[in-house]
Amino acid sequence: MLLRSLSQLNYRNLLSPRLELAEGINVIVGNNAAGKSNVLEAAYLACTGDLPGGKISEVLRLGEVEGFVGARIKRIDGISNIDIGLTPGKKIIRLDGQTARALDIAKVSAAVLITPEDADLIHGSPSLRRHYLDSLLAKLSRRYALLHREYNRVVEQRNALLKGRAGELSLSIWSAKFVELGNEIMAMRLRAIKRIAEIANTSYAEIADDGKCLGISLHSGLAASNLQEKLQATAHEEQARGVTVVGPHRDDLVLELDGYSIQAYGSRGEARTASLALRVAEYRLLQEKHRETPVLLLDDFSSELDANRREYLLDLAANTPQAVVSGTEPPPRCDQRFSVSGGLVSAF
Amino acid sequence: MKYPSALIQLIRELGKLPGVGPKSAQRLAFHLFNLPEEEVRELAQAILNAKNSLKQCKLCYNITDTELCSICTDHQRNHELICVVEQPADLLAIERSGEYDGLYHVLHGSLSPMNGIGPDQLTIAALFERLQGFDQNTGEVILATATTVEGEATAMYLARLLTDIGITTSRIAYGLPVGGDLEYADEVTLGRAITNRRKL
Ligand SMILES: Nc1ncnc2c1ncn2[C@@H]1O[C@H](COP(=O)(O)OP(=O)(O)OP(=O)(O)O)[C@@H](O)[C@H]1O
Ligand SMILES: [Mg+2]
Ligand SMILES: [Zn+2]
Repeated sequence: MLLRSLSQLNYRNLLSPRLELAEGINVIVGNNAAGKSNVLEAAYLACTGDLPGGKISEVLRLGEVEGFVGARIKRIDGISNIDIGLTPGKKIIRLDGQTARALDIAKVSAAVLITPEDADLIHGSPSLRRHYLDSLLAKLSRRYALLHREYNRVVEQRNALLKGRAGELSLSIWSAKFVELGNEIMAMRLRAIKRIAEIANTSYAEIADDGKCLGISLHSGLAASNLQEKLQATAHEEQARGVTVVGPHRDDLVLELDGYSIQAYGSRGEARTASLALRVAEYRLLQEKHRETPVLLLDDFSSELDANRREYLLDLAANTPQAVVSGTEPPPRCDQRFSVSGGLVSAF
Repeated sequence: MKYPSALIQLIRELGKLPGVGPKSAQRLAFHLFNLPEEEVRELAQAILNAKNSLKQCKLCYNITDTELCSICTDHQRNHELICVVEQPADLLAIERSGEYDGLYHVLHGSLSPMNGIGPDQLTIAALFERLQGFDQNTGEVILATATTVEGEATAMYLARLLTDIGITTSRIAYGLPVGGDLEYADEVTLGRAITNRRKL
């Protein structure tokens, strides 16, 4: 898959309305605060409809209330134009001129963004890891995307019921729906984690060469085996707190090296390598699904000081049809070079 | 320049209508302003007339201009079949499919705790009152609430109560997309959904 052009209006500090990208390695060079990460973030948003972490109000240029990002994607079987209108709190997605949802974009376009902040995937809060899993699964399976949205809705409804005076019948209905959807979500997650773990373990070994084995599993805090039992076990707590305290929305991904939790015991470097391995798994699974490589977006490769990881990243970029790589200095190989300064991007 | 207050008020009222954003509200307001007075008067009159003459059917809560709606008073229809829908628009969608000749019951919403909508906010009590004269052996209730989580929960809720009093209950199921609203399902899908309803 190729990101042919990226357009934007009022996206953070960016000033250039349009960027034509080449096949191979596109390099974006600039000083600190020039706007490199902003270009890659805008590209990721335009290719996927997904805004990693941020709120829309934050990505709109200060003082503006409307903005836009757009991507022209070339696949083997055709070209798609994605337009995303941005207003505080709302994205308006159009796919080839038709109103669409983020899950419609996942059918025609895919991108993976690798940034220095990825280490937070390991050391940050469980919600970051759940988001990694959920957003990847939603892109791999439309069914998961729909089920997950329904599940979240049921949790919201159920929580509202727990906060008020719930009739017993009403609560049992929402609990049944919760268990039904929760079980499906869990089953799909477990299948995906198995695949993610296989790929991540292989790439961990390729990068680190320390002979350690990377394991990934899902932890749900409670020993009970099924969701129905867990719900019963926490009935008192949820009535007291007015929220659903068990279920897929509380589960966490646990990453281990030779059986020891990286979150608890790992070094900073091991965490970075493990998070990179998760991104590689994302890249490979999307590639498998589309039978085409996703657009690879590598932010700030020059901040990567570890020789193994740096070499691995550049290898990844060199062996994919198209990558966009940013840094304060250019990497050894470069097919199309841009320089950024004060939000202005110019082809070299 | 600030808009005159009468204009601001008109834009605000129009903007409260479903599907009308601030920009369309403004466009509509200017459009109305440019219309001849007679046409504006007719529109206002039509709105008031509709509001004054329309009410909910005493039996099924469909919108009607008589005590009982034309469906409830139609003796050609099967009075032992009641199809429960969320909105009058859903009733119309099923009527368009032409596959159904029973009666309806309009709930005017679906269970949604986060919006403060419980069983008492819907016409559920009226449904069960209606079912008191129902023949358990031949009668059937079809649950045609939306396939959204709220619609599903409402159907499950009703199904439990209906089974308790021994009434045959089925749920339309066939070919509806996950998370779909009935109103937007096409007629073929809907016709098939009704024909292939499953027993609950
Ligand atoms: N919503 C916004 N409106 C205006 N400017 C913004 C907005 N959000 C971020 N910026 C500006 O964008 C600049 C940061 O850009 P970016 O993070 O892309 O830099 P960078 O080139 O990646 O730098 P580094 O090398 O330090 O990672 C900052 O100067 C910041 O103030
Ligand atoms: Mg940066
Ligand atoms: Zn009626």
